[in-house]
Amino acid sequence: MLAAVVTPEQQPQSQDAAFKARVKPLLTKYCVSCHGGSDPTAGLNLAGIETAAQAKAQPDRWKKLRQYVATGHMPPAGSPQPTQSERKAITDWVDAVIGARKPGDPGRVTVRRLNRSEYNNTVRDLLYLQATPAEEFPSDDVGYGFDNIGDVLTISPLLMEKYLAAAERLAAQAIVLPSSKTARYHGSDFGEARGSSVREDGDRKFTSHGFFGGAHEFPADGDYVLRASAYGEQAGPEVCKMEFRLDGRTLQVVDVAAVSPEPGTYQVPLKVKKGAHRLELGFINDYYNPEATDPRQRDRNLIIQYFEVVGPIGPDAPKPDSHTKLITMYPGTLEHPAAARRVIGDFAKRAFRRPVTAQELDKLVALYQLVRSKGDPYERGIQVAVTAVLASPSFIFRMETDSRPAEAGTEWIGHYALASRLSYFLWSSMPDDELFRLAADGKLGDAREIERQVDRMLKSPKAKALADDFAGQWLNLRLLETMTPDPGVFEGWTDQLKADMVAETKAFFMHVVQNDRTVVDFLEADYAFLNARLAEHYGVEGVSGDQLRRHEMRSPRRGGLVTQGSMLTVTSNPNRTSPVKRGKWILDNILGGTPPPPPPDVGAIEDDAKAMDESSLREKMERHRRDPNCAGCHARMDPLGFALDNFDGVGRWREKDGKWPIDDSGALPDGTKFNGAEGLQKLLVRRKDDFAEVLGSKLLTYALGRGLEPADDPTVQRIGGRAVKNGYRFSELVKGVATSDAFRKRLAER
Amino acid sequence: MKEVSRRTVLKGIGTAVALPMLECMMPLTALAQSLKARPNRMAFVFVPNGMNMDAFRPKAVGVGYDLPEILQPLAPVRESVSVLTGLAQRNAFALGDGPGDHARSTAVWLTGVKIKKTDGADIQCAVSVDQVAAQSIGDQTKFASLEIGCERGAMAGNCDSGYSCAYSSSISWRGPATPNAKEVSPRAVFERLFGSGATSEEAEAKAKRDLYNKSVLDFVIDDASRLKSQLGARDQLKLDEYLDGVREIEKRILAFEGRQNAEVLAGVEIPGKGIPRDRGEHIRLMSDMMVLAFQTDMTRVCTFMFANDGSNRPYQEIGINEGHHDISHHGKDETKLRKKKEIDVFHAQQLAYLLQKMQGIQEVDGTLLDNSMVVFGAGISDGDRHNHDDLPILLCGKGGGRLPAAQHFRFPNNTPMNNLFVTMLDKVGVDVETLGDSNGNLKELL
Repeated sequence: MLAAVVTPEQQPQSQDAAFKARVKPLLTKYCVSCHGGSDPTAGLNLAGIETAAQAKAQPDRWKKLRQYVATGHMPPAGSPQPTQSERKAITDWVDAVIGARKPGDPGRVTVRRLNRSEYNNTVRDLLYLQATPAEEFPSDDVGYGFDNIGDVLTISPLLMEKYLAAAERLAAQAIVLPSSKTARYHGSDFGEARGSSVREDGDRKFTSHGFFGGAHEFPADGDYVLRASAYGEQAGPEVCKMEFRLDGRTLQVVDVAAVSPEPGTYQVPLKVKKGAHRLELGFINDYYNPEATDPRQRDRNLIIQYFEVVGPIGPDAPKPDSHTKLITMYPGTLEHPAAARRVIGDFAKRAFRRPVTAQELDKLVALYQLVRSKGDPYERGIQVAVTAVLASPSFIFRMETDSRPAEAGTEWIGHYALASRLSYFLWSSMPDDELFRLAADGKLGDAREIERQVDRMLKSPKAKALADDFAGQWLNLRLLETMTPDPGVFEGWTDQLKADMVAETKAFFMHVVQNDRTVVDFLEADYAFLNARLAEHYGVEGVSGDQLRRHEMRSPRRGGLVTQGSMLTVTSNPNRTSPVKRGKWILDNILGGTPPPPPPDVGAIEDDAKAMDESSLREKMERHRRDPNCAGCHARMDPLGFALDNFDGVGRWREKDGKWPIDDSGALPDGTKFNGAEGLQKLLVRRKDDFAEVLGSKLLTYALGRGLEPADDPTVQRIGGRAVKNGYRFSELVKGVATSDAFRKRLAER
Repeated sequence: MKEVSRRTVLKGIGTAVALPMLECMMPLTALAQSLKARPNRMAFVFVPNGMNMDAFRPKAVGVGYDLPEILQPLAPVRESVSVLTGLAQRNAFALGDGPGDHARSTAVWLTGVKIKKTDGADIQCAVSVDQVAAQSIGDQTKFASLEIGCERGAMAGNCDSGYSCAYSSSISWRGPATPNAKEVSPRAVFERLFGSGATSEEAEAKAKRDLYNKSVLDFVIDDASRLKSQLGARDQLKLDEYLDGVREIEKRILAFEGRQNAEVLAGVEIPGKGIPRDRGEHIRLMSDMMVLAFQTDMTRVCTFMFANDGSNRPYQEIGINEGHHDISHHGKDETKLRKKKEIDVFHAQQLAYLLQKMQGIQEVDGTLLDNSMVVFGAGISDGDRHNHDDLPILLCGKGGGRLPAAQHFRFPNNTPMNNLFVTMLDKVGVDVETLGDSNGNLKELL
């Protein structure tokens, strides 16, 4: 059925023929009485169209035409209406001619850079740092309602500057340089010495008696600590013994019981005068017995990795988590960068969210070596490599370069890219160890595994990102944060209350997510999350304290998103309610079927009320609505909003608007009647299947980072349908998204 | 009161600025430039939601025009303020694309092209006049251009009737699909221009750090170029944005690192962190930053958005509690027209602060204001009608002596505003045949 759609490149004549046979008669019958003649409405003349080439020349115009026809907004109410199959004949032809994607194909997502919240969360998980560097980045532009859309996320020089500065600052925060009070000597320092040799990794291995070391300049009189990292290859009756010497005299002999791969740290205190003193470490109990039956008992050797002089002694700052977790190995030297290579490689792999190529790693290690060649310590070398990783496009962008061919014209998103798609969808952050492991094992190709991961990930505390980033935008909570209701009109309004409202809606949302509740709770719930301030604002008794807590609601007036202060405030003007905005909000976010923007040259209806003493807002609105140009859409939006007019511009209950009593009755164009918030909520619950699709489409947009097109309709329907069959549970919507072709595949580049 | 302290910390600027600037204090580039031509700066200052045109449009034409209420605050600098009426951005009209005037008129204001109506994919605008200048004369300064404003881009939702937020929050466009992000924090602008001022690194440590940073840049350029070849066509465009950004920074390091502005900055204290609640305070602090950037020749091109178009912010600092956008749809209501006028006056007062500050800075030849061209205005004429002809536009400064005496020019209505831009570009030595919908010069300004 779908394959029957002809592609424009192949069959231009047959498109013209199809137009003449099927489309032209429909346009003539339904459209050209307005869109024809010498002064066609909106300047759109359909009478003169004969060929596909004419439509192809104006793709945007025809896309819009398609939208109006498909959604039933054209022809206008009161004119003869085409049948569904007639509408489809028009839209199919338009799709074929303007080269629209085929229904159900996966589409292709433009490479996305991290947005501000993804950047902050990723840095937290990657560097084990509590830092929010992206607060200083310019804001991310929004498209399709979300700020993670690849096409819209651009990089300006300003942002690039911020990236570089943040990379340098983060590396410096994460990795602590040895304080100037510590001087470190590696096994490879001081050249050749009797009894020992320098190994490939820069450690010094003593195979017989001997010492190594040299002069060290002590900056002041005082107490110092001489500290060494070492381990033994143990054999014979004793463990390895290591001797510390100062100016040729024995300071102390220690037993080195540690073995590979966990070197021990051994230290001795010393008191010296300012100036140069000779420091040495050595191996003093060599043992060699080639006759031993156990081959591991034949040879005793001592390996010294480094030693350092710390002091003069004062309080020393403890190293942060980031440092100890990132720098897992010492030492490394200019000539022996093996440890650095491991540390940098492990880090780059997590930062790039994929395996690192040898070529990439070589270049990073070269940076490290440059730093060492300038006499800076090991940690500084790692720091600079970390800076480069954080500034590189492989970190900043979510590259999806590991895809593999699927059926004709499409590709499977690679396992690593899929791990990132999942983690950025549900956590706004990088994959964790488990996701990385599954990617490495190639296990993410399996839809059941993806579903298992969704269950696991939604239960993680990191899923809070869904409340901040998804709900924060879906429900316009971020917009609320910038709003300033008029304190003269809404007495008692405070920023604290605004913050409480945002927190309330997020808590409510997270309750549904983490308990995997039905999403119908969003429409109608007999519980709410309140603190004393919100309860007082809402006129609810029996809640105390600062903390939000679950409260069972006895009145049907409140419960569900449309009665929460956040939604009621964000859809109001600074000094009064806006039923149009509330109605549009409900269509946008719950019922779907947002009217397209008004046709050209018809101004948007202004619900602006002149002085309130002339007539009620409602009467004014209804006068406006008599204009037939506006009636079609406003008849669907306004009644929904008026049902909520008992809530004022900041969500408080009221019986009157000024001197006018509230009329909360409403009727939709299809004749459905309802009253007030309670009636509206019942209506919304009856339409819960529509809501499942709307929420599914929002989640899909957010998960993919691209706008949806008509070709995505089948995907959205499948996602909604799956939830409907499975108790409307939130996780079912997420699983529907995460196992869809759109999420797991993409169109191959032509 | 934090707001008060923010003011006081910047008082120092006034002191520094009042001193006559000796040639030896001048940045090298500026000095070299002054031998040939004085640097001529360009700034574009944007206000949202149109204006109360009856209180803006002077009755008299020519020199010595009258000052209607909105222009009253500019009386002290009127010798440097021309009023330009009759200019239009025709492409900001719907032209078949329906509503969305706020987003459209913002993106069209400095470009003069028809933009593509999209919520995300296929954003299509054009290089704006400030960036045409920046791409041509920007290599003479550390920053090719500076973009500042008082409101971030929208944080959520549909920005304006099917137009992406990229359109509605940016007047400055580097490329057809790349708006220039703006900085809204005065402190961040300062640190961007002059560094955090906290470093007292030794020369050797600094040299090493610069070397490492340079090597990091080399690494990422290399990485980006290599990755680009593995990507699809659209993705490559994103990598190009990245590479453009890095190269611009590289240029700054190579050509302008180490230029000191110690003398000018000596009297300047760093602005406080955070953003003042009071919009006047905020605008004035950002103005200080723009002036400082021009004064130290960090850049010669700046765009400054007092607010984003369609902004519904109330102006509680002048007793207006309704949203600006709602007020601008006045429906000829007397009260709303009065309030709209009050907001316009408020913005004009801030402009007066900026211009007076520029006038107070003496350069080798004339004042900073004399050596600048500052366009001030809106992309909408009447906020209720949403018309984009007869725009309220001021042209301030003397353009290095290359502008005629300040006067009220009344152009035939629908004269493309881009004709003004072509004329201005000519005066900074950038020769373009046409720009957007321009169809010539404004010969009255030649």
